Amino acid sequence: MLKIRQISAIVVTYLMAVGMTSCKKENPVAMTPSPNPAVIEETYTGGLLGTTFNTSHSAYEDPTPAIEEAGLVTKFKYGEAFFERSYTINNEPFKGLGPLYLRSSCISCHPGYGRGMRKTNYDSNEWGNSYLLIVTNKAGKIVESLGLVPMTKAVAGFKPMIDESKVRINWLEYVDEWGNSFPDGEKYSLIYPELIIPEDAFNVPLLIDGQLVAYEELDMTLEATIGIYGTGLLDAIPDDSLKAEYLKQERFGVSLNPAIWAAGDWVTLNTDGHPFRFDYALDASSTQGNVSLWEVTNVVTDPFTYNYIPEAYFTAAANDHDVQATFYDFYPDQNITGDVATDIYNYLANPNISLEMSSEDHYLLNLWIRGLAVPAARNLEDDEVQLGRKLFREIGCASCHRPSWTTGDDRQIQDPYDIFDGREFPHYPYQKIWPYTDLVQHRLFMENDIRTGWCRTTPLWGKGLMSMCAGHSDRLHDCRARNVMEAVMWHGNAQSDARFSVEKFRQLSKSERDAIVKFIEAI
Amino acid sequence: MLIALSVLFAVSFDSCKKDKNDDSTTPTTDNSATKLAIINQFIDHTVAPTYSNLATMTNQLVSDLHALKDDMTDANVATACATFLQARHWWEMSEAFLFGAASDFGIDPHIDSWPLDEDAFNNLMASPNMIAALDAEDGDVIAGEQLGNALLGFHGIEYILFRDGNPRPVAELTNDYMIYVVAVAGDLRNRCFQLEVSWLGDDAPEAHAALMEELEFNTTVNGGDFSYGENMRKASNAGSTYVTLTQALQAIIDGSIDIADEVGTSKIGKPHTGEDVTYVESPYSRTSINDFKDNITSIYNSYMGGNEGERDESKSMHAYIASFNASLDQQVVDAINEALNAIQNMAAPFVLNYADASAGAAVEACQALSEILSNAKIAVGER
Repeated sequence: MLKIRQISAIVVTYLMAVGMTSCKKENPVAMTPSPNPAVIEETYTGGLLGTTFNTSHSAYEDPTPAIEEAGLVTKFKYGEAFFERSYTINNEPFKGLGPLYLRSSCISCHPGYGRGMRKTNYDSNEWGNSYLLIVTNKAGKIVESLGLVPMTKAVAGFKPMIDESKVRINWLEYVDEWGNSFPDGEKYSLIYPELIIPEDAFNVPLLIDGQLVAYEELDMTLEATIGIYGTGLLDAIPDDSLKAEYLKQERFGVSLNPAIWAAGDWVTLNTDGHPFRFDYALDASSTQGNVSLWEVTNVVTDPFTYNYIPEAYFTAAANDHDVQATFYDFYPDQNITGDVATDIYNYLANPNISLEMSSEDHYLLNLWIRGLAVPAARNLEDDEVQLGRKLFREIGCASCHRPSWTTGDDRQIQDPYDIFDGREFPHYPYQKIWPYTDLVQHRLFMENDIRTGWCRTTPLWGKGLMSMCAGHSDRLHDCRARNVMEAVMWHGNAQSDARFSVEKFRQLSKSERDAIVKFIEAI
Repeated sequence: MLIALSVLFAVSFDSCKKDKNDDSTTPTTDNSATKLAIINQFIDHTVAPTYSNLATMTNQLVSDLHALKDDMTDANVATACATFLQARHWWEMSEAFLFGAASDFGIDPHIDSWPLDEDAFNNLMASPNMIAALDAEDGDVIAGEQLGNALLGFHGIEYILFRDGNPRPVAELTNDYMIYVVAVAGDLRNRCFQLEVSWLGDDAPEAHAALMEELEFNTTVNGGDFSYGENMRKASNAGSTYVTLTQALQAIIDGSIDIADEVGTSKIGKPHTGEDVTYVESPYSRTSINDFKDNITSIYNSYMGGNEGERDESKSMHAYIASFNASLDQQVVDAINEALNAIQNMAAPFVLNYADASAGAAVEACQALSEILSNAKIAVGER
């Protein structure tokens, strides 16, 4: 039972919510007021300032109340276009595509503004294919001549890094140690992908640390998108809170990635001194440091005035007879030295390309990213959902899928490239948010595991609306799980950090298991 | 303590309703039958005829372009252009319901991306291998799989057929342009068939469904058994993505909110405010104002219970909302009409007159429409 002081706080919060948001677009939801104030609090997954009550197809597309309060809705809509639309080589306002690219729009990997869907083949023109082709050596080190984002498309005159027509994805059946069934006999299905990029599909030599790598030494895996809504809220969690979480887990003896944390402190911080909190690989530390547009389309954007392409590709293209044969036809104004190999190299390697996206437009896109609202939790008053909520915590899921955080004062928004001076962004101070992630990496030891095996706990918030918004409900980093149950059971490997919880899950009755699934769909 | 809390909740809940200045009545009976009737009417008399006409006209466009390619005359160009405009009209009339197949299968960006990538087009024209592939029997499939959204769809065809608002002189149309446009039109037709089959399911023409099988296009919700129409009709039943009938009604209004806002804030607003004067859709045929009008008409049809000629207001969102909040309904109807009027009064063509005050008035009317529709969505959600 909540103490009086806590109830008062919640009541004040609720009244503020109603006062601030009543009768404006979408807020608050027209649901029967619950007698449980805790339910109200958890319904506001993004806090008062970050939640939308939209449950329709556009649920992932709404601006936060903070955007609305700050009068930034029109700018938010302007920024949205840079996410939604197809980029062209040189047509305003979405120009700068190429010379290599992965996709020509953001939305094709984030259908419905969510995440990508499971695919049985790799075709970058196919809607919803969000797969990155991750190519490493057996130790998980990225082939540097391909980079983290191997580009499978090229504008005329150039070849992509990988010829995608040769790529194969095989989906294999997996049977776990329990024969894919629960003690009560209920069965589930588990499948996982095998990625095959044949040797002759590569148009660059395969290099790690400057040395050629034998094809047999390669590991190849898939990584799909995560989602965008709520990253602004996660960004507002103070660095110290992240540190406290690591300290707590270390004290409990949780196995932590030694590349990130050891002996009571960070091992690696980002170059601006901030800890990592985003992506499976924990390679990003702030929302406003996001440069995905540039990385995917090669649209030159502040502060990067060069192509996001490894140097090895420049050399390969410059020496490629096919590329040489047509380069001056496609790019007559690049006939500068008369030596086509040199001109090709210099064109690709140019360190001072003029901005293809204006600073203003880049700001608008970033504003939109930060301004996306998290959908409110649904049906929390439902008895089955409440049972699922209780069990989720009892069997230990919440150890990694930490339910909530509180943001800091969010006065000083991280601007790692120092390009947004004077620009207005929405702020999310002192918001209690419910992302259901500890923002720490763990290991599940699944078949054809993610690169290095370490994977940040993916936020669960809002995912119950994925089928409404994006037309699919695929989960896990490579979309192998077609529903929540499969996602849960992929946590069950004998060595998995979640093994203990899965063993408990298996001991539950069917109605209890279903209640947990219903809860995960509700948050 | 709990009693005090419930009183607080009740008070704040009611004060919200009062702020809406309504004369609403509280629901007393189960109105599932009413809701289902609206949903069925929407699917059968707004969505279905719109997509059927779109399928028919895009199919006709393919024929007209083949006929033109075989006999290059200005008269045949004119015929193809007229068919193009009719097909476009039906697409724009569908933009109040872009949720469902148009979004889930990426059909919207596939057939309606703009601006066209002119450099990519020129590169394509310089590419004999690609042109040969587009000229083959399955050129439409090749186009759809390989050209990329910025070279496909309505605006690719528009670029070939129109300049400065007029059909192009036939002398300007090379054989390679014709190869391209026939392939792109075939792909457009395929995708419009996908819209039709995805929503109509078994009610779609068999030939269209057969083509979908042959092309291996998805036509069901989440890869399951339901068409989009069935999925909506079965709201609140197992297997439907709509948990309640109310959620399905809200989806209908949500689609209208989205397009009203997009027309106001972006399609008209961005060029008008100077935010981006290059952001003009349909610049070759100069039919932007028609597009906007059709977008708002799409809202009208969704709200008023059907397309012109098959409307039944007794089974409309309009009648439903009027039954419990007459003044809110009147506000919606007025706002739709004001937006239509404001658009009709815009100085034409838009590409030359976006700075005009008449464009500003249309922006405001569309944004006001979006706001009032948001209130309608909330009101519907309360029952």
